[in-house]
Amino acid sequence: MHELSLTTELLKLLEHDAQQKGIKRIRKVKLVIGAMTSVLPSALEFSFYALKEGPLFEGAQLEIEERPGRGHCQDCLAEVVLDNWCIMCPSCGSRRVSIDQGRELYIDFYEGE
Amino acid sequence: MRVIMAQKILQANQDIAGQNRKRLSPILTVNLIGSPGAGKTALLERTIASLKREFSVGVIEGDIYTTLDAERIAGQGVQVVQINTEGACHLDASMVYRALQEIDLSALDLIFIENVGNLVCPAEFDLGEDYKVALLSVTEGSDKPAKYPLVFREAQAVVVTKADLLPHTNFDLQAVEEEIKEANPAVKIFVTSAQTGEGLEAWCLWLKDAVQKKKSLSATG
Repeated sequence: MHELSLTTELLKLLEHDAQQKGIKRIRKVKLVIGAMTSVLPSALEFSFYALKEGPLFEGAQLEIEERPGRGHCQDCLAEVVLDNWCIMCPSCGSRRVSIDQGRELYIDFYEGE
Repeated sequence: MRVIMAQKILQANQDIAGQNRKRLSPILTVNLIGSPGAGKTALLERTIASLKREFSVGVIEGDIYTTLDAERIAGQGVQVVQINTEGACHLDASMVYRALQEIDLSALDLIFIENVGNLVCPAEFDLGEDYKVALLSVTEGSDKPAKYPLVFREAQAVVVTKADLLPHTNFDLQAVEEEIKEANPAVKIFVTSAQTGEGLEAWCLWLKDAVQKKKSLSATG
């Protein structure tokens, strides 16, 4: 359950940024979560609605873009779709597969006034 | 109004890890990651017993609630700081930052951070360590590197523990070693038993070498 501590961090970052920009109410937050981050989007979403409090986050909605994992095989150079942590090249069976996409975990943007 | 942030959620952790790394500059720092019951504390006890005459060692003990492990390590007569995560499944850089305030760093050569027993989340959090070391006990089964590849990919060394139990399990040591090496060709693998002492010499030699390297690296720049 490190989604709880990630959400605490997320809310702190948003609060700090909103304060600097004079934003009083956040309407929407958009996150990007890669498939290869061992972060469960549903658990993060749950934590967001459970932990957000105060007028800044009143009515704030969370949107999560789940970014699929992609890599390529370092032996046969095949492109590999990574949809779980069992990393193996489907063409040649090698486990030497780089993770090129799917390790993202960031706040893309937020909207407010 | 829309504010584009493109801000990594773990950036704050990485910044603090960077500060830890600076503070720890001449001291080799090893982050031990393994499942509950993998034998992290037993490995530490044996390792400290063999290194403490030569090096000054400190330990940061991460546990969810108890101080049982810290008490075991304190029995070795080295500096120990306990971190209780109160439910969190991993250590993060700020917990280590606070723990470092409690340690007299001036005399230390080597710090072990015993992470919370877990193979998933600890791999995601940089603590400011030099090395991540993944522990894998033979009783956990051969499938762990396939099930939890991130920690085995990120580790600079893997310590297979409880090797004395190999004859009583169906753990396929050779296949596991090959699998780990395939995903992480540079990794060092040590096959050990804290009961019989098997493999501990090679592990301790690797640590000694790393302590010396860190020292000379810090001295030159």
